[in-house]
Amino acid sequence: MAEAAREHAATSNRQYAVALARAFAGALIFCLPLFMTMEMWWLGFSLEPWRLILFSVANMAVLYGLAHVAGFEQGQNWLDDLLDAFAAYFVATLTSAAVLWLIGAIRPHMAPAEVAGMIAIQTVPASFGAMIGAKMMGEGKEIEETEHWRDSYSGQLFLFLAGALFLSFTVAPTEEIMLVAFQMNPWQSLAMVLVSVSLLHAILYVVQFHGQKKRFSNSHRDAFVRQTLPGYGIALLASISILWSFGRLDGLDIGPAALVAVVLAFPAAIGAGIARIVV
Amino acid sequence: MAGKGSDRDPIPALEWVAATLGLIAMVALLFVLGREIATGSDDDVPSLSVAIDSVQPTPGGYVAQIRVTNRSAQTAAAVQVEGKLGDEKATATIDYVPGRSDARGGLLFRSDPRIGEAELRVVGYELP
Repeated sequence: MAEAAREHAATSNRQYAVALARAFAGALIFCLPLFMTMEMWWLGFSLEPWRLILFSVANMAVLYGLAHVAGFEQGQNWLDDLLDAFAAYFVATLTSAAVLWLIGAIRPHMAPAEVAGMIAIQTVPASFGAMIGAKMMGEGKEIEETEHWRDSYSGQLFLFLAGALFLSFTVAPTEEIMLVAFQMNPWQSLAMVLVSVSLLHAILYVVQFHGQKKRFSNSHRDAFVRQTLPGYGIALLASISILWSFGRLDGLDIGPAALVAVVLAFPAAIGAGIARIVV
Repeated sequence: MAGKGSDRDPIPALEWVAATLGLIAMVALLFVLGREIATGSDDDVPSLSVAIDSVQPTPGGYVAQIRVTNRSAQTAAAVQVEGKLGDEKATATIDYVPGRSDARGGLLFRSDPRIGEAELRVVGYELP
């Protein structure tokens, strides 16, 4: 196991360069759908700057947690994790700026704040992708063996959050989330909550994906209360915070806002379920 | 990697470099956005004006290339521009004019807008 830790930790410049290259790949793979989503470009200048700043700062906290729980190389202490978080941010800004320029979303006559906003918002999911790049590209086993925080209860709750963000990010900026919310009737919304919770429980405890076997120790009822319900709560919170950051809840009354949150919580709950696989 | 003496390995220099660049990127982005907050003390009303950049004859008529300028910090969406030339009327809708930025489009006329004065104005917009 100590051997595995050494393999995953980058201790030479060369190894770290490989880890960085993986991070670039992760940022690209995860963000491709979002680079091609025009709502993402528009959010960069239609959102208030303070909201973008808050979103970016909150993102740093999530990045630090991701470095702690998985990361593109194994963090050896808090400093290493913090450095990895900033390195992922660097990879993400570079990737976002390059791709946004390449696809013509950033044009020469744009105001600096407009360009900064567009890069800042795209950087959030890109840095997420950079952080989980190694895991996506098959280093899962080493990571699971060496990052011990994954197995604590707080680590698991964080994994729910990371998984929820992972799956809801790519659909959150689209207009369709609002459209879906308002074309469903209240019964369908209620059914969606039940389906989300049941799917989360089923993914966690019934289908038993890779990396989840050691989880199932107690009864279903116990697991439902200790894992599934908090998991759905976290998925719902993740959805609300993304929607709020994207300005999607502005001007909505609490009822319609809840409908929209429930729609996004559907992919978020499934993401929380598969968190251990993807993050 | 076997044979390392200590159980805490040194952090490679490249890691410091990448992290420092990340910190710089973040501070730079936050600075530009923060400056926008500091200067954006306007009310919520976009301040839009429109002018002709150039005129080009095309088979479909004369194209007046227009530039809509927004002097306020408030972004305007679906900006409608109307141009009148004699008894001709042309309209264009521009998706977004971000705060303190320009956006471009075109109006088509049958006669040359350089002869006879074309009258341009923004007639409406949507808040994003």
